[in-house]
Amino acid sequence: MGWRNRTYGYIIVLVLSGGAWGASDPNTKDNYVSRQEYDALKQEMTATRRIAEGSGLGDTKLLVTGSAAAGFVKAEDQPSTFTAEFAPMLLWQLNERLFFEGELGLTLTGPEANGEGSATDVELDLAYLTYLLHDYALVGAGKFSVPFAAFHNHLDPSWINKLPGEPLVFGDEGIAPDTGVGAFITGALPYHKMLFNYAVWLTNGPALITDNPESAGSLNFDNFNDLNMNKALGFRLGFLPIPALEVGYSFEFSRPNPPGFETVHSTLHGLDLNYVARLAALKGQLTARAAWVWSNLSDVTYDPTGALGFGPLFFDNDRNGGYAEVAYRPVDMSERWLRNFEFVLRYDRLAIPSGAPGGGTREQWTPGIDYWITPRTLVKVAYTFDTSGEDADMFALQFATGF
Amino acid sequence: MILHDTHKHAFPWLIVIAAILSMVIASCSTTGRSSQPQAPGSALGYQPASALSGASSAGIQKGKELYDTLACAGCHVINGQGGKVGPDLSNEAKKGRSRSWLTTKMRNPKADDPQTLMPAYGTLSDQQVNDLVDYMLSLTTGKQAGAAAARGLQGLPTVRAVSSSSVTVGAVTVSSVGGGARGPAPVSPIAAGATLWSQRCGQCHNLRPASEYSDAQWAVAMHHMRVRVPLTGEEQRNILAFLQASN
Repeated sequence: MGWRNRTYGYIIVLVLSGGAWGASDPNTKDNYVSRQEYDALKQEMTATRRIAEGSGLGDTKLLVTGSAAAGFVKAEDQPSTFTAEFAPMLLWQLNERLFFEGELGLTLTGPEANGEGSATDVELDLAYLTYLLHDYALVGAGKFSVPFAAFHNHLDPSWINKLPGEPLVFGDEGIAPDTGVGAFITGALPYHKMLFNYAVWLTNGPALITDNPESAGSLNFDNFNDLNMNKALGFRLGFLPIPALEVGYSFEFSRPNPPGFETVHSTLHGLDLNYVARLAALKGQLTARAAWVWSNLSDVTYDPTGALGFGPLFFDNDRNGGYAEVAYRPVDMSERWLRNFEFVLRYDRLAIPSGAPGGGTREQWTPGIDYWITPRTLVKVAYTFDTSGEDADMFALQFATGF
Repeated sequence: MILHDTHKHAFPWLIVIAAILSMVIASCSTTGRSSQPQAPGSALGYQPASALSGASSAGIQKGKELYDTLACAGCHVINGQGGKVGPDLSNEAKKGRSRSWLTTKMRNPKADDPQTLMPAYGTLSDQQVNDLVDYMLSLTTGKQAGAAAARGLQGLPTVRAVSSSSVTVGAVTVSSVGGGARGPAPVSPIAAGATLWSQRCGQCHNLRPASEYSDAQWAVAMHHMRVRVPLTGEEQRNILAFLQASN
């Protein structure tokens, strides 16, 4: 029976040793924390980190953000050139209701044909204070982005604009205001599942150019010191019937004539549309944007005596222009490398009275391809076909980032 | 002698049985450890999910509640409900997602996709992640739904009210707002903020990952966006709550 006892002995030892091995979990020892203790400690550390972050000087109220871009442009019959721009923005939350926003625009200009005149343009793009009245309204004053037709205050930054350049109607020779010096009230109102937003502004308004033979009859929207006692009054009403779609109507009225010049009334109307949706059928995101602006000014005679050398000049001063843009990004394609590309096509039009300086209709088609390196950094390549008969085709490459 | 021989032959088998028994006892003692999800960064396989072995209805229900409370629907679609920032999660089991893959997607989403906007939910407990994984693997559509329901694993309404639940994400504790057993789906500030973030912010520009700014910086940035867009005060607060919770 000795073998039998030995066998039972082996079995008991094996069974007990297995149990002992299983029970020898190091986590059960006193010198290890439990999962619960670990989670509690981790949460405490996270809370401490947040408190530390929130109490740091310069971190609680201030935020430096903005955009920067570098590019290369080759316009038809023009020398090619590299470009650079930098638009730092300072956001300062003075308290829960009071807020300041300032933005500088730094761009390189020149040189002239003789090689002189290279300079860095520094412009105070924005500087305004706002005060929150309640959940549906806030007031502000200073130099602010005028939300007329929604482009400049929403889509202007180089990392948001999907093409290297601005639409003609919102560009340097455009017919819509970009910034204004004055005061405004704005807000949004929900209604069931829809949303309305509004903005009303009172600014110095534009200045009518009367003495320049190359631009007489057009409006200068950079009117920082009002040239008369009349202010511009404008508003924009936006409507979002569904979250993916916003349509807006803008209006601005002013008397932009300089002192001593015939009284001129300026009326601007604008329509804008913005649709962004991720469509399963297209396996990607579709963006459709459009805006159209109508500008009506009183018909007056410029340089009536001919003293300035280009008059008398009289024309029907009604202008209009706009753009329509579609973009597609295949974010739901299985090929990951393809998801970062975005394909863009924009149509531009700007009609200036034929009798006015620089008169005529300009039309452009601009296809472009963007490559998104990060959600806020991209490379854009575009080619503009000018179909209005002018030699104004242009190739543009731009590297843009928001920070 | 025959008996003696038989006993001699039975000896090795008894040893084998004892060894197996030993291992069973050992494995029972370590079950608590081995059932935990793998640590972040563990192998990213696309192995077929072993369905819901070990998943309880209570765990799935808790996962569903967490899914609602954490506002996952702000970015993800399940059965046609939710945002479209992230992928549709209606068929994770059908796609062959493993538990470790789903766990890593929650713990360390950039391990698989460096450009993803998905925030890392590092402060969820392992149990909470387990529940979420259980819930996702329980979701099936079409023919599979019937089979799953028959197993008692589905049975969850698409939109279900959560009467009272709260979860801590980082230092922020979020509670569901309102809700009766059959009332409308509750909308927590974070859930509402997640939806608004994808809809309102995505209307003009790409969505920035929440980790790009600190909580304090997001407060300033959202004040700025309230002025520019413009947003209502409630929209501003909800989006901020979501970004800070996801940060």
